[in-house]
Amino acid sequence: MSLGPCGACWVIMAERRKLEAAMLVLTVLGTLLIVPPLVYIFSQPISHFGVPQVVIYLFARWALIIAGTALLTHWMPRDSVDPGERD
Amino acid sequence: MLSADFVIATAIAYVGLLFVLAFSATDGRANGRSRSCILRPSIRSPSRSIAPAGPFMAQSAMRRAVGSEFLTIYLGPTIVFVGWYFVLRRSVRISHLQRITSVADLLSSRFGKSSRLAVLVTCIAVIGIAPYIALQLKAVTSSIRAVVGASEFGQGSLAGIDDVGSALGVAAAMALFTILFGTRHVDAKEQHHGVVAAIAFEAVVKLAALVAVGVFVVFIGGGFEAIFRNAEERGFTLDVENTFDDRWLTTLGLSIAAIICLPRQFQVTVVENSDENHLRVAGWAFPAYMMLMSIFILPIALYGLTTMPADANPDMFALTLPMAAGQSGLALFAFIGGFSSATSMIILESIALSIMVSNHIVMPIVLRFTPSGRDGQGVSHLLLVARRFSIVLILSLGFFYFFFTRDSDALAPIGLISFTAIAQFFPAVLAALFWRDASLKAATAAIAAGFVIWVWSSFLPSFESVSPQVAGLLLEGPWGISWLRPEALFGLDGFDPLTHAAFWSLSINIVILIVGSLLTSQSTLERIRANVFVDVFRRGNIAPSNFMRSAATANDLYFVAERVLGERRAAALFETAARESGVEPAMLDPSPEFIGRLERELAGSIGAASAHVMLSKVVSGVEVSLEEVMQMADETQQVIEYSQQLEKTSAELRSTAQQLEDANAQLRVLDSQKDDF
Repeated sequence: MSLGPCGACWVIMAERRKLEAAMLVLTVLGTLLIVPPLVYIFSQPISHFGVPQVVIYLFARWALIIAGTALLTHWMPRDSVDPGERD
Repeated sequence: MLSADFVIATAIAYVGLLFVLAFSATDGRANGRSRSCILRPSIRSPSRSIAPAGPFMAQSAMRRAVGSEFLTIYLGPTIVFVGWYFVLRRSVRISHLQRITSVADLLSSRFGKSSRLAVLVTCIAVIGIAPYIALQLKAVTSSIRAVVGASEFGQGSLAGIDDVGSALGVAAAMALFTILFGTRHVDAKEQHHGVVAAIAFEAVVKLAALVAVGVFVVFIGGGFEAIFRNAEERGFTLDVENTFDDRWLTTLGLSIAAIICLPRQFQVTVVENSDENHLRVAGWAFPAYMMLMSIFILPIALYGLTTMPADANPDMFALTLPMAAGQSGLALFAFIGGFSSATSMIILESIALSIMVSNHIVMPIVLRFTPSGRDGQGVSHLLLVARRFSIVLILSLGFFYFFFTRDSDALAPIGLISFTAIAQFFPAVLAALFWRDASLKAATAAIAAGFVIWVWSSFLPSFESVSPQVAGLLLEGPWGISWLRPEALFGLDGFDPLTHAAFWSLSINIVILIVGSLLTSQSTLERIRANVFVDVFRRGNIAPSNFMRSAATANDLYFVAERVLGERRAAALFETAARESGVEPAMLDPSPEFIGRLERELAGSIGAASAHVMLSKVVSGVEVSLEEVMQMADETQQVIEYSQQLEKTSAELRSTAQQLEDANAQLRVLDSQKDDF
């Protein structure tokens, strides 16, 4: 691995790669949580507060994954604007 | 209570409002660019909506056991947007740099600017979307019926018109609106800001209406808990046992593919996207929007099932529940919400498809049969006419599908038939974005094979109820060959028809794409395009020109540019280039970079394949020089390989010599031992 033109850039690049990996994990995990077999863990005929458990589970996962994406996107450095935009 | 005339008048007034909005957004953008840029991220994200006609109308019919399958239609897109960084960002970047105008354009541009592939994809999209358009028509007509049917003021001007008649009326009105909305001029980047503003407004209206009905239902039902408990007492329970089966997986997969490949979706997410950074907002805002949309679906459905008569249509509960409670104002709002969602989908879908038809089918034919360089502004006018005709064609196809399948009951399966057709592009799109070795022949064969299986196992069976021949075919198979039965292909019997069709079409599609790409070789242009696509984030932003040196003069090029872009834009383009190189516009020497830029500009109006064909006519002898360069590169490669081989051989020789020497030494030792002995 070569150091870029400046040390700080290299730190940013490393940070960016970690965030990319985190986003990949979030996407894959988010998918795995709603397909068998993981979804079976929560899909029992039980209700909490009158609402079936699996409905609560699906919406809770939904909310968490939205929050996770917002957070990771917030930390992710912006792409430089491409020249195709200027014209 | 609502009379038919009042409901129709409201719908027309609403569309009029959208119209005003679309026009003022276009003008506002022209006058005050900065303002619309600030508004943009916030209004854009809700405009990406996917569910078939929204949850007002098109839930899968919820019968005794309520499945949560409708959720997958929202859960799939959530996954794509949560992972925006990987697929969407890449396709938006590529599409901006290459001026991509549609899915067909993306695929053709990646696979060596092939016009044949573009035509194939366009035809499949037009046929595959017909069921989807039919679904929207059905949703609008049955919601009109639901609102008006209960009216004591009678049917008003709707008296004596059946479903087919009103669907025809709706289709005609939609065609008119779409033509007025979407084909006012040919834009350089195919962006329709007015339409996007109108669609975003519709998305907000849709959400507001659904939340209003949801809150109302939860209120009169006594809260979430009471609704779920009452439903359970009446025997309507959530089917937790059978929800997460193969069908759940299929609809999830199809909705993921559709959010990327549906022509309308691609148009809104990729083509109309004026700034890549909007994706950062959409990544969480769009999933949040969809979550809000789905929160109230289950309570509305369960409350409807418990309180409404048994023969009530579950797809219409959002309308019929407020009406049953005497809240006609709320019912009208819900109707507008559902109407909003159906119209926005029809308008966007047909705009996106008409762009594909005009760019990839009409344009190449025109280029082939008109002598180049006579008709000045003609091309852009011709494009508009072609778009108008294709909008009419697309809505007619949708109407005919509606007409022939009007007797089947549930709404949502029709939408999934379309999704399966569109999903046939998905493997090729992913390969285009990520896989360097995917070849044109393999991609074309894969998409064609997937489409043929879709027609046989998904499209054809939907005519079962109108055609005894089709029904017989489903039972017996063609000529009694049982392993060719459309819903039990190759002996795979007893599966859910949707899962069956999606499984066979997509797996054969993927296998042909992969094996075919390994067996066939790419042309030179394909190889270059593959590198441009796959390395889009690596090579900075310089898209290499395909034209190495040109025999064309600036005059020839100007002629071509003027024909497509119009005089003003062409002149501006050439003047900028001349100023950059510091010469008079007439003296401009077209550099490869300039020709590359010109080609991308043209591609923004007429698609990559047509732009390439058009420029190739002028810039002659190009491919040859390209081939030469590639050949030279190949030769260099061969020399390198040869010298590496030589080095390897000499290393081997050295080691053999060393071994010989060792053996010799050993022999000598043995010899001396023998002497000693």
